[in-house]
Amino acid sequence: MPYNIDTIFQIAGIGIIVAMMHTVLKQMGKEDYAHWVTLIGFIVVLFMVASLVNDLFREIKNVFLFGS
Amino acid sequence: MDIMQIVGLGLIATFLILVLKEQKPVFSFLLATFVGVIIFLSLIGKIADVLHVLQNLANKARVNTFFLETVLKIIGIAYIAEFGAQVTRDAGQGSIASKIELAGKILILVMAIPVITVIIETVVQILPS
Amino acid sequence: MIAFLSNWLKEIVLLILIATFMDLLLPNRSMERYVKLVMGLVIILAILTPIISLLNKNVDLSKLSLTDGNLVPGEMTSLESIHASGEELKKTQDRLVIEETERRIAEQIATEINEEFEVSVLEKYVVMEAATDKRMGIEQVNLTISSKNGMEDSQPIQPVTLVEPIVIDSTSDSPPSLSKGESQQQSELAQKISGYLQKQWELQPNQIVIQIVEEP
Repeated sequence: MPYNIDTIFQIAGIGIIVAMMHTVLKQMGKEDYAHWVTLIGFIVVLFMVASLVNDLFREIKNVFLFGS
Repeated sequence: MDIMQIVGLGLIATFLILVLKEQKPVFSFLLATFVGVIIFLSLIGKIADVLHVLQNLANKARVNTFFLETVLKIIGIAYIAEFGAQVTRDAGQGSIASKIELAGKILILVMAIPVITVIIETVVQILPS
Repeated sequence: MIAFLSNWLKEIVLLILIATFMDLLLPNRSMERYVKLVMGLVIILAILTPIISLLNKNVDLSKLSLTDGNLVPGEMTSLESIHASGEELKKTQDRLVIEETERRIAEQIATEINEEFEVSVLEKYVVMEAATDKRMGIEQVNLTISSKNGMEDSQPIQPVTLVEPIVIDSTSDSPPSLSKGESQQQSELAQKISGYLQKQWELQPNQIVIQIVEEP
């Protein structure tokens, strides 16, 4: 398993923390901050997932579509 | 064994997704995609081994590389299209998933166009004589 | 041919193997029909490949046959010459056969006369007459004989070598040089030999010409 499994827990942790922050900020009455935090967390996780998907596509290209 | 690792990974991811789904469905979806990609990546090494064996066999038997290339491209297209369609379907976008599958099917058929051309040319050459 | 066939079969078998593997490797069922169609086409193409190459070769063959067609009229015009040369060959063969026959018969006559009479045959020459229906008859027998007068065993070879350069054919017109008794003896010998040949070979007397040469 050459890929980092920790990233899964990272993503899950980011998700939980963002959810918590969202709840806390919502309770504090800062709705727009809560939305920004959610968006930033989402972008970070999306970046991780996108880089991994990039890896996957390159690998598939190497293995299957070796011509082009 | 790889199978243990993959099953464990899948179980852990499932529980985490269950926890996250209450709070943030977007994150649970990203996590599911991520786990899917990792399982795929860990499998693609094995598939590459199998394909290398087949390629070696084909090279030894002097099979035309055109055939092998076509076959491999078809499998690759099928895999990528399948992966994208499943992810989109997980996200609840069934229509986009079916579009991706359609694109995969059409591209696979496009792969067959040179083959069909050659076959039809052969038949046309045979028929008048 | 066998190598080509085995290569072809190997290719098809390997392609079918790969197709089976691919069926197993495919992620889901929805693509299966399409993939099967494409793989079927690929396998059909692999099976047709020799036919394609054969077709390509056929084009070359037809060109070759066209050049052959250009050559055919030339052969048609030279057909008579072929017949003529065949005729000539036949004639040559017949001539060779006749010559060989003449030589053999002359040899045989010479040996027979050698055994029968105490003479040595210097020149023998048989002329065959070419008759129809593949049979040949003897037309004339020419013999030049030197009578061995008592010196059969002493020098059997030397007299021959001595006589040969003389070539009595030219001197055959001068029988007067011979003494009378000897010429009579010689004519008797010639008569005997002629009779023997007439009896043995069923020849007419006018077919036999015998010249007897005096031993020096």
